Amino acid sequence: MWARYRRVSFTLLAPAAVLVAPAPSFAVDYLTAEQAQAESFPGADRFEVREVELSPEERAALASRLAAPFPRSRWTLRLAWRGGELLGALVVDDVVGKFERITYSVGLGPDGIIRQVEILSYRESHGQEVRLPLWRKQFVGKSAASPLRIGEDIAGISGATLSCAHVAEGVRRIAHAFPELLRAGGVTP
Amino acid sequence: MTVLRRARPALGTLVELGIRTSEGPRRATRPGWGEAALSAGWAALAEVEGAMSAFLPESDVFRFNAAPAGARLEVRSGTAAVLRLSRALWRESGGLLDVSLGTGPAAWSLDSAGGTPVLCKHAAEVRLDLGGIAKGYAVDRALEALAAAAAEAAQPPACWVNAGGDLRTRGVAVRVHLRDERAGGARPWIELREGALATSDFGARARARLAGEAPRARHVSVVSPRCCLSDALTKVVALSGRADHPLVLAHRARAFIHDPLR
Repeated sequence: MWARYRRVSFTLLAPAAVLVAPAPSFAVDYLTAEQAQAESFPGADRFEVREVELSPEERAALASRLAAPFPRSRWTLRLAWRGGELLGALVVDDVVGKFERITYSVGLGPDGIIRQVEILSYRESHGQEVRLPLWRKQFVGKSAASPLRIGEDIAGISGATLSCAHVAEGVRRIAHAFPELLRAGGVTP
Repeated sequence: MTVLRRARPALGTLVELGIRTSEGPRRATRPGWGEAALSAGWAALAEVEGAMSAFLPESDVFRFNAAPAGARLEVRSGTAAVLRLSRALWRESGGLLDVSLGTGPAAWSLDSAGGTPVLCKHAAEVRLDLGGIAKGYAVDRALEALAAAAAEAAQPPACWVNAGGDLRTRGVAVRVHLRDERAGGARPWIELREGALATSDFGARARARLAGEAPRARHVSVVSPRCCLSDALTKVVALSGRADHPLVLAHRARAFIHDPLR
């Protein structure tokens, strides 16, 4: 009965305020880091948070391996344990796109293989905000980051107005850096 | 009202799946069915992407593009469904919608006579790009997977899928914000209660591609019963510059041109 739905129903919303006010911002929160770690590692009985820092030399080596900048030095590793066994770790990062800021998590096994990528939150900037120097500063070192690598990692089909290129790039960065992050956190898988 | 809502990078964009798992005093259902429904939705998306992405070596489209002239390739049923719709829309639009992007709209054909659909390549130079329609099809399939899981749990389907602007909803009103592709920001624009909405941007730096001709409209949305149809019709509207194109009317769709070029 429900499968026969083939209709359309919509309403245009009043555009009144749009003419005078800047476009309002738009944001969605999907998951907290705690929820994401629980969903990415359902078998874990304990999570342990470790703050780690990569040295400038380690970052330079990563940047050269990635053929792309590696700007971030401080990271938070959320280690998932079942008893004494390391199931993996969750890494949270954010990227800035054309007009949006996206926070995402990558769950990796101890072998470095990606188990799950989740978007934690999405923030679309105000139309006016993006013209402010403070907002623009967030783009520095990121907008010029690197060529799109969608075809290699996460397949892309064209036609989107909203690209996941920055997230794909970030996931790739984290996957490459994972052994260094574990080492910096004193973990030997 | 309890809603499960998750987003992941997929189909080259951010995809959001949402499902309403309860509303008021409804009958008890198997716990965790909502999470299982989301998993089914992600699996449906991955299946379409795996079959139709131009970047994945195992995909039907990649295999076709790499094949020599005269090749006959067995393709998945989803790929065949999208190709059939593409062929029909190509005819109906007088060639405006062309999944070969000008490399040879008549140089491929689908042979479904023997059960498993077979895609035939008639010229070496023909390339297929289902980007303009497969994303909408993936949204449709994911929505059907969510709705089927709801029906199994004896719930009325109340779910939506949004793939970076290609959106379909069933039983849930979604307030859609229209993204300003040039200045940033998003303004409330439409409330979609039932059906599918696709928005495409064909500006100079946009990711969407059109065959040959320059678009006569840049920023276009189409509302129709199915997302694959909405997705495809945005190209017809952009190329013709007509929100009242006969094809739009024939498919009981409604088109919006946000930013006419001339």
